[in-house]
Amino acid sequence: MTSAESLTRLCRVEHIMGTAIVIDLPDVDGREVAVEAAFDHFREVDARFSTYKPDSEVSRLNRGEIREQDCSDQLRDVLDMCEVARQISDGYFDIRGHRRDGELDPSGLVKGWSVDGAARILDAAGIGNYSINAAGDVRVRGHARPGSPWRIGIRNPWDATTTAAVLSVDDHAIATSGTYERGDHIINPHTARPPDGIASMTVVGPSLTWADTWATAAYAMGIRGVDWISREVDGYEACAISTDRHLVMTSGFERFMAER
Amino acid sequence: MPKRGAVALVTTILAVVLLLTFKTGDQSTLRHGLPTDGFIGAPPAATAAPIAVVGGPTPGTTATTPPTSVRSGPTAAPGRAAGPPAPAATPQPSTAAPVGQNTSGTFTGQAIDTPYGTVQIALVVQSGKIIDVQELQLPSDRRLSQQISAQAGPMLRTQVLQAQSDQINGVSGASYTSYGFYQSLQSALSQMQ
Repeated sequence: MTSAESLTRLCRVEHIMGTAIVIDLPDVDGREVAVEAAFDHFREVDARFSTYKPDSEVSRLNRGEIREQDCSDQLRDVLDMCEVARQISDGYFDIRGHRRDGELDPSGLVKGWSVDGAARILDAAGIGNYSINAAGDVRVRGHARPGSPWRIGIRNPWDATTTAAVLSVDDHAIATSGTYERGDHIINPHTARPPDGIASMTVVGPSLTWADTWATAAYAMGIRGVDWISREVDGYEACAISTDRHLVMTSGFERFMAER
Repeated sequence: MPKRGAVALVTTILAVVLLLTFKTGDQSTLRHGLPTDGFIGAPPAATAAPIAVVGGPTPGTTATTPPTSVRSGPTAAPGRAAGPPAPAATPQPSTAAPVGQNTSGTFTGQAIDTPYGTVQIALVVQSGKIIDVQELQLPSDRRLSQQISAQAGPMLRTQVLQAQSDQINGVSGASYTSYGFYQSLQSALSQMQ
């Protein structure tokens, strides 16, 4: 057996931000110490942005204990990005509007943003092949093993044990919004109701911050969110699953569809 | 080649399986037990309806999408809106082990304490292939734990076997907190070296 065939793999999971986060490295070569720094990064983000932790900066902002202009640079950057997203999406991504209780909740952007931050840590360490999966939002780089791109399934909205499609990706972020797990947690802010006709919305692009954000916004629009991504969002492709069980995708999405 | 395939298989399972542990939802969306036709991961054909492809330049690619079973729609997950506290234990880095073609036997994972109770699984392996996943312990002390376990068990089994046949490295859109199952599975896999 050659050394190329005996590559070992590191696959680590930690429970952070109320969910399981997985970092998968196909080729272990000593640089994987950066994985610990990446998990530290997730813990820092959780401590600052969690809406479940009463002492987080976001919770203190929500209680009015601090003002927006007094927030950390990180939180202000996130709030600025949320505002950009709200404007570009015509209010469909709205960190004050998409929750029924109306509280400020930037977690729709923070999760993807935290993964992008972790990816930068792995990039800086020179790790060329990895996958980071935070609660079903995924960022990959390089290959899953030599010669094989990453294969990422899109969950079947009606059966969590199967996939509706498999995507073949290398340097991409993949985010899916749906309501099948925690109830109707995405509502159309213009109608204050969940969108009709859509079971899930998957967006693929270079950044998970924006893939996740656009998936949330496009989901809130319903099936026509696919057209919106196609028209208005450069560099991102979308695939919706309708409640009548059709895949509806942008023309550029099909190149990601893998053989099964 | 078989060796590398086996490595990929194990890591695929590791990456995918934790996505499906503590789903709470409609009981009717679960499939119980193993398929009996020997083709692991095959959807139940009798109840299958295809997800069609529309839009895009070539809508004729329906053949690449799998059937999805006709079942009732998704329901809201009860009592799980708040993020659960992180477990106290810090997992150690561990590496997936290659599975030899001749490996057979039952591999028992560690018992893992989670906020919901203790989780322990065992893998039944025949000729390097996982043929069953057994839940030796799942949380049962509270009513919510019982509900979670009743649904998680069959799903976990199906998901491990599905990942083995589907060769995928992850699933977008599935977020679950299956830390305990994952850790126990990982320790069972590490014994298969």
